[in-house]
Amino acid sequence: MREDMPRLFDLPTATSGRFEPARLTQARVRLGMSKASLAGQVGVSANAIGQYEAGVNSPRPEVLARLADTLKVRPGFFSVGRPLSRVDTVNAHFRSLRSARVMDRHKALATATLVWELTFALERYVRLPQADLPKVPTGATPPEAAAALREHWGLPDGPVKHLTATAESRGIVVVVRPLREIDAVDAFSVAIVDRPIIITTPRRTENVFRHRFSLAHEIGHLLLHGENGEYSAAVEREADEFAAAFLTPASAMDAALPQRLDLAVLDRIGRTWGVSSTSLVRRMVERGRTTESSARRAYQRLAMADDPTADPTSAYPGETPTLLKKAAELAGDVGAGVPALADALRLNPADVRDLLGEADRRPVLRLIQGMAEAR
Amino acid sequence: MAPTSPAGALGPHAGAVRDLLVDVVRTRHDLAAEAHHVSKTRYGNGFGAQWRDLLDDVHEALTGHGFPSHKLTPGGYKVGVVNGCLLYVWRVSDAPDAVKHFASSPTRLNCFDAPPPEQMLWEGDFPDTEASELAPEPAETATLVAAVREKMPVVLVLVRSTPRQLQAIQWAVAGLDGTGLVELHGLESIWEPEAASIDVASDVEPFDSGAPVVPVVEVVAQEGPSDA
Repeated sequence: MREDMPRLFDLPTATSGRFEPARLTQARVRLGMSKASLAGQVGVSANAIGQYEAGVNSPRPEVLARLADTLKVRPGFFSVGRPLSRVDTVNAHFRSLRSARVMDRHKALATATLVWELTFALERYVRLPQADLPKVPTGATPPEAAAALREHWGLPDGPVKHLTATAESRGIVVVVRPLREIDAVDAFSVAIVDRPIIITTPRRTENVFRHRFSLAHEIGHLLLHGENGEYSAAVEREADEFAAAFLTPASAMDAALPQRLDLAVLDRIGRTWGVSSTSLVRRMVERGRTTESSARRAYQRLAMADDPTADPTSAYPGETPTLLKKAAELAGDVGAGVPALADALRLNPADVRDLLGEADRRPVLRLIQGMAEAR
Repeated sequence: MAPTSPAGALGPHAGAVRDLLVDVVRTRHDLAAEAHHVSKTRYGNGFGAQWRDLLDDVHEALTGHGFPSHKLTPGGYKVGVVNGCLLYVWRVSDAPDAVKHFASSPTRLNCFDAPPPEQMLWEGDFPDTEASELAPEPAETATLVAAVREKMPVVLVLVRSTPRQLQAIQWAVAGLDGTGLVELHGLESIWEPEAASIDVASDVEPFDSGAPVVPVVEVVAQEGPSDA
């Protein structure tokens, strides 16, 4: 654990009972609720919620209990006493910012913040790989950045093997969250207190080629755009260029790509390099191997034959995130299992399991009607 | 003496004609396969009908380079003539012995009786062909004139394909045996799909090969009793 970072469990306990306004905001936006909607369910005015979040007023204990109940957290979630990352949306790189509302972005960031808090909590017990991304000079082109990353990570020429495992080994936390949490923003990346986090959705992980390109795209953002999360088409294009150059370097493609558009050959190359045929067609245009019009026809044919679930990421061990789960297992081995993490985060254990990507396997208990009546 | 191989029949044009054929056939196959796919048809009739387009495409490409043309009756198919040889491109059907029965129609049978065009000594050219290769020596010209045959050799280009994949392009000099069945001489493959794809994929290890290098996590030594 770094010395200059806030210590999760060393804060004075005397402060832990006080109300932390930012926690209310975090819990509310994570569920995508408006202040008015929350107020309606809790039975207070919208102004009151605004005042709680602004720190003007603190909720009474009975209101706090209703807030916790409505927002599906423990009442202790709203207390101070543990590190809280105040990440602004400008620090994150969202793929679908144009279609995303401000609330969608805040909702996604609330999830990212919780992921970071979980990572931080785990780091008390388990040492995770330190973030290991090279410093890319200002003004570097995406291909230059891609080459720098390959060199820094010591990746040999050829296909990038097991990209997710490689990224996690270099300290990047990769998490797949349900569509409902980040649907509007799709995949995104953020660095919170030096910990790069990439959050993606099942829509992108259902196909291994899309997943790998998406991951490379987000790594491109982390390298090239740092904390400047300002969205622009140019920035997105640069991240795409980075992904293409990282996964399929131009020099290798010049040797590998066929002289003319042959979808059967591209499919074979794609399965070797871990990229889609569509991205190879695009590469063929970039490398002057085919024309835009031929490429358009190829895209149409590929779109008609497209089966997004044909190569699910889950079938490739090196592309399924494991870092947080492994860390949690190890923490469990030293006595800090899910309940302890849940206590530290003031969350329900089910929420922690959910953040770790585990299905809740606890048995569901039901009251048997006949037995109750017999008593 | 009748040529025994397409390269011998086509002489200095053999290499360029070979490239042109491969390009034209692959383009036509892509279009036909795409049409088959788009139409979601259950039947291969439309895809199989590309043979006529193949003939037209190759004829157009050859005449575009200045080569003579020959019209086969009674079907009226136009085919190109290179180096005094008739070049017939044909998508081979799945029927057994399809090649032997190539000359089953009067039009195709007439391939084997086609007389050389008069202007064949001034036939076309490919830009990349060396001029010296094409200019016949005076003695050679005399030989050619003397050897003007009444019938042209037939170079048959065999296209084997399914709507999913172009499987092979071959060529051979075709002749008729005494019973009217077609015999091939100097059969040679001029394109195969695997030749293009094996090299590009086999010399590198796939992205999912080997065991992944999983992230290393280790227990942190605790300083005091846990408060968790």
